[in-house]
Amino acid sequence: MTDYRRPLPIPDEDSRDFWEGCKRHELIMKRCNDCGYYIHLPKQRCPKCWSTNVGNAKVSGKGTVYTVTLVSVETTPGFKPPFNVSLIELDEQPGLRIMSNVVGIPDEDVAIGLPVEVTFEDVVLDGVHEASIPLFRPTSRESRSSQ
Amino acid sequence: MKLNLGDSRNACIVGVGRSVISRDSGKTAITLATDACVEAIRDAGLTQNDIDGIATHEMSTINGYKLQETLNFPNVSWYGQMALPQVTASFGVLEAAMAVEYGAATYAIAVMGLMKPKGSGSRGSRRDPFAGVQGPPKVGGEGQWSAPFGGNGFVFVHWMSRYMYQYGAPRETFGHIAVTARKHAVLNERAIAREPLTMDEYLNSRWISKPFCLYDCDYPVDGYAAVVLTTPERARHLKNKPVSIVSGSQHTGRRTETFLWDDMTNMGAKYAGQKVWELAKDTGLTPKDVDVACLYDGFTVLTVNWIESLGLCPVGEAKDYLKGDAMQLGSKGPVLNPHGGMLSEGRVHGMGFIAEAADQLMGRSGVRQVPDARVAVVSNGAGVQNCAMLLKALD
Repeated sequence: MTDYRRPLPIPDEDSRDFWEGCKRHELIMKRCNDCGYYIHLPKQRCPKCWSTNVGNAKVSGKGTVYTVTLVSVETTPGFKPPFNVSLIELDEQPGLRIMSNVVGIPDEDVAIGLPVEVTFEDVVLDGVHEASIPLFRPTSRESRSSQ
Repeated sequence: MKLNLGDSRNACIVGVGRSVISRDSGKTAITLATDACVEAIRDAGLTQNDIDGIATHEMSTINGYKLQETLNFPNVSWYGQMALPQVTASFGVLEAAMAVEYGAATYAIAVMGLMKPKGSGSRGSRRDPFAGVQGPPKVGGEGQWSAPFGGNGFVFVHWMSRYMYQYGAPRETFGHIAVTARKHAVLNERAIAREPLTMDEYLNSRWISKPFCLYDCDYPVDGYAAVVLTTPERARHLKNKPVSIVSGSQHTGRRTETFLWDDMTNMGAKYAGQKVWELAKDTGLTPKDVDVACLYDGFTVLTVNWIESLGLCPVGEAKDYLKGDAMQLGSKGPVLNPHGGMLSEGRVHGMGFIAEAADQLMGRSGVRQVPDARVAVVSNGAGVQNCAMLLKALD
């Protein structure tokens, strides 16, 4: 993994639990303990009811492709065009979206409405587990039937 | 927002100025910005001593003291710097208009523009902020949610992707915006791109970030524009036909979370577009009265959003409306961006739309004049800050 060149996140006070969860291969989102609203991007006050009683909740990591673009110009190290950048809407709540890449199928085949599930890419540099990046792959038949 | 105070009180645009627009001017931003200001002030028939209000935009890299170091206005009594993270020249114009209406300024100037990012289109450009970095670059703040996925830039393409999916709009809907811009730019000597563009050329151009093709994206240039405003009473004694600012809406939405908007097919135009008409309710003016529509076109999808949000066609129906000669010079309905917009005149970042609308309502746009243009809508913005203005020619 020493040839990993893609940008890595710098966690902050609001995002640390999310990125630490990714390292454990868990998708952790903030959730309002009062009204139950999932809050992403993470913040310490619920945008729905303004409660500050906000905690962490593990989400299923299952969702659908909400939008997709096929980037055809070089923008970022480690990404060879054309590559997809997709917004994934998670099953837990309408509008609960995360930007990611769909992997496991040709980029050209990624389409709106495709059911996907999270998978994590561990980035280990010089023996240090720097981060795990949440990517999405088409939902496997087994996990679809278990829903 | 700026309320409609009636013809006798609404601030008026009385002068318009622009710098040279070019791909590489070899000049500094302040040189171009002051060129635009001087032209606008002279166009209004005013002098250095008359200007007592200034509105600038942080994003243009110009501010009050930089203007003062060159233009040396001795009588400034009002100054506003718009510290917005996105383009919205209209904000400065509206703030200046309200300053004039309130009496804080008698003659105010608003200036906005942009320099083409250095090395744009090549490595080391704005699109490649990591050039030269060894190993994986680390990104905090809002970038942590997009850079690890190669998602920096092209945020608005997700809006187009969703819009096309939701309303079944074909690429031709967006192509119509690009083709129309170029058709009009052929008639604009200042425009940077003046070769006619066909729908086939649009459809066969290279992908930038599908569904964005080359012609969905505006043209980065070095360019500035400025307008001068005053009260209608003073305007009547100046040489140009006054252009009354009837109403104006200002809206702000999510930025880091652009991809989390409830309705990703219509961005903030939805709010600003409806509000500008609500504010003008007493005038009786409606979208049917619009002669000139100078609508933001940083990307073609944004123009489609504005056309629908301003009520020029129903939401989701642009695919039926933007056909044939719709919105083109010589057609029956409103004319879209007679100067070619930022897609073809060049990215004078919002102020180009205001300058063109004012010139059109003053009736001095030459070969691209919209006949009997009386009412114009102007929009600026792209999801984060959104601003719409309703302008009309004063008799």
